[in-house]
Amino acid sequence: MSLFGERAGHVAHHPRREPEFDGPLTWERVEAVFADCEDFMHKEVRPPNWETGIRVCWLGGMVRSERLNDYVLRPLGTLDIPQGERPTRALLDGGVWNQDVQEQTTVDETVAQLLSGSCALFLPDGAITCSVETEEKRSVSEPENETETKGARDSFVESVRTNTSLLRRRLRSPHLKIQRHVVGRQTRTPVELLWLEGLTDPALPARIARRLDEIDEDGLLTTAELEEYLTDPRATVFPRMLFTERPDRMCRGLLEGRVALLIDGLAVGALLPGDVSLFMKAPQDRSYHWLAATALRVLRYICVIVTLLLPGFYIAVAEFHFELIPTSLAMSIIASKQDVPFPTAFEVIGLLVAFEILQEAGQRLPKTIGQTVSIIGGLVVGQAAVDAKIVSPVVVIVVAAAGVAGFTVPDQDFANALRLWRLLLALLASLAGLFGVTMGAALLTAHLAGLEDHGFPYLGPFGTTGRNALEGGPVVRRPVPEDKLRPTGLNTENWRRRG
Amino acid sequence: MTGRKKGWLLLALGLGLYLLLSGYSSDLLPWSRDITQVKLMRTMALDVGDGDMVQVTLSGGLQQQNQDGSDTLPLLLSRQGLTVFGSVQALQTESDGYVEMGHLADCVIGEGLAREGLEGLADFLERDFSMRLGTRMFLLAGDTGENALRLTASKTTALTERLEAISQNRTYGGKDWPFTVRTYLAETEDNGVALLPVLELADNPDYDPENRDERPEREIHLTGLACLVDQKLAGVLTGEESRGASLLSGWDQLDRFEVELPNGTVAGIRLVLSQCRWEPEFDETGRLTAVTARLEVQGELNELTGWADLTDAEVLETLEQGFLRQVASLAQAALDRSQGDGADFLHIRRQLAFQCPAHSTRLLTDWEDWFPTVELRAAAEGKVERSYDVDLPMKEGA
Repeated sequence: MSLFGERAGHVAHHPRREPEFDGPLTWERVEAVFADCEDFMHKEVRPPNWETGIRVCWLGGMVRSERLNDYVLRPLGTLDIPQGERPTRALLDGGVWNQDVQEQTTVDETVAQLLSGSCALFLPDGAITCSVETEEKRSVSEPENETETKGARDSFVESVRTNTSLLRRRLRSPHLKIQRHVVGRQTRTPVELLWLEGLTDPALPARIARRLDEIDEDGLLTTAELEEYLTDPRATVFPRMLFTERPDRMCRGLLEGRVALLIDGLAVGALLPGDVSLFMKAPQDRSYHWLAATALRVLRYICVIVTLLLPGFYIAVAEFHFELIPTSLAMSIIASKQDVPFPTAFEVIGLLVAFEILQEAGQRLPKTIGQTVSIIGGLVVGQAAVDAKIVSPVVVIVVAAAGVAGFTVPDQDFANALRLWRLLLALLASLAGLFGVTMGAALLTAHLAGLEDHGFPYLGPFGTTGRNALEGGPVVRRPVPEDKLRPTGLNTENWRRRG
Repeated sequence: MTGRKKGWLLLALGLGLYLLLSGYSSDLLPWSRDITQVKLMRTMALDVGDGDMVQVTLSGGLQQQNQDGSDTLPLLLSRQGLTVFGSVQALQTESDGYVEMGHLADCVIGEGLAREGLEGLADFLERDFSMRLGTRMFLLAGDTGENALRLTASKTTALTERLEAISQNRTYGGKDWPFTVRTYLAETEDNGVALLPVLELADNPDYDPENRDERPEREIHLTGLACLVDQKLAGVLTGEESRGASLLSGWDQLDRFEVELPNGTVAGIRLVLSQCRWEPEFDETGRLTAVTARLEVQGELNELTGWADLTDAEVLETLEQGFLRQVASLAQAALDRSQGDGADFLHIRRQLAFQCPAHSTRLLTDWEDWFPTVELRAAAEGKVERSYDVDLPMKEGA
């Protein structure tokens, strides 16, 4: 048994075959590729005066029947090719009523087109594909995790083309470039790379495009599978890519000079490079008055400190430095802990773990049951534990305050990172008191200061000095007319947001 | 990272964890002591012990309250030793928890020990890392500190809470209680003279011998100020001297005055502001000849026992002059006492040295010669404020 899975070192490499399906492009070859595939469908159509038929094949469910019937099969039935013209040429020149007709020469590309929702037509002199993909998808709906009271109500869906249209409707700029990459040996997931030409550092999309092309995975089905390939180093729990379901937020990132990624099949988009301030900004910050937004951001940063340090600090003062607590508070803590059999560190760490279990259980269950679990776990069991003197009320308050403060962090990935560090700091506090907390905090600061994503420091916005620092920082949101410069670390071609 | 490097790193981490968890690290890491294993001591009483010994009595105050409200008597621990430190350490074996001195709020010194001298205590207060400089200091007249702790304790009250109330109630405008370890050490260092508040025990009229845990046998009251010269009790200031010393030092802002008007009405005035300015007079040789303590005070009229037309300037003038005369009289009494005892407990020398840097050297060197003969005068200026519309005569027709 292995906790970390099988090590890859002793397993022979299995490089991707290029091309995957070699040999000449023939109907038989393609049929062989899709052997034992129930959804592989084909039909032979014989145009008038033709001696041989045209074989048409597609994957059931991937194509829209009306399009296939009306705009491909029906024209084929009445196809009249002038003497001496190549059939393939005739179809490419309007023989089928389709906007995306491509001549194919390789099995690989033909298979890829079939898997993308095209149909393939095998003619005597070659093969073509016509795009007849279905547009069945979830309709655009309100964002579930990034709600805003005064902003847009649409969110990304699982179709990458719909998502690009949502962006295009906001960024009506020809400078918005969209580059398609296909990731995954088996999944062949379309990943689209977006940036604003003339604004974004051109090296950034080029580097990310190269990395995307270098990904050699079986499949791309989740966000982390992409993030862990595109960002480095991996030995950090802090996110470097901001995943958002809001098109307006992604547009804001593009306008700052960041690069965006849209993945087909995922109802989120990614912005990179990420930094601490990006994860601490909420979508509604730009909707509120700048003073209110600044106050809320300050509150969020205070909450980060509380969620990170409060459990550790409590352990430290209750086990090592009780002379630091005001006397009345110390007496209250002693009174509340009088009959609790466990030491403070065990109580706090145990309750932190219980809190995480509750949170995890709540997320795994359907929403209504999840809320019930939270209520039963948090209130009923918590109160029972206090009554049974298993934990003291002060510890419940400390852990709950730390947990609630953590919920103010707008980005869930960032909040998860803080949860892990909170536990680590609590462990260090139980070993060495405030010395341990201080060392842990120093380690965390050094770790964050050392993180860099595509040349952009993770704490970059906090390190900006001089003239640029005046143009609005990570905490203060300046009035929009005064916030004239883009983040400097992104090395944008155009620094100013306005004239 | 190569496999070998990773292996070494894991080994080092495992070894480190083993050392930490096995207790080997006790010398490397700070001590851990859970707060529930600690007995917080709130008040320390110091008395003369047998022979050369000093007796230390510690009280935990009312901290032992349970969540269900079943109170117990305050924890009291008492031991004797040759040093204060030794006695405190010996008390560690008396309690079922670690005796923690870091939250000590008050230090009550028995009169007997104060007469013998507080050198040992001062040194302990200065050196011991767990002592707080903000700990309040008191002197108990006519009894031992241990008795003060024991006889004022019940299930619902303890000396600590009473002293807390005294220190809160006797200051005004958010000022800190002025008699702490810090001020005691600083004043002693300055000229060897320090003032401490004096407490006295009195019978509690509500005491019920049948139910002795519910109400304390004795009550404690603040009665004056003790003057310690070279860390030994030299005298006690009571009445006007004590009030005057408080006024001049700006400590006690809750003083009250009663001024009789010509028509027999008595006005109750509360002192709400007092600031003292020292005005030295030097002769042509640079010798200090006189010092005037000019008090700037402000009173607030709180009560009239009869009718008084306060719109009449003459009546108001009489009221204010009477108030200022009383203030000056109190201050003069304190100045006279200080000079009479030859103890500069008001620290006039230090204040003049700050105020007149050109004379500071001679003030420091010649003060002992000058102080007995220098003329000390007190003067007061200020006004009485009224907290109502002055155009309406008070208690008209009364």
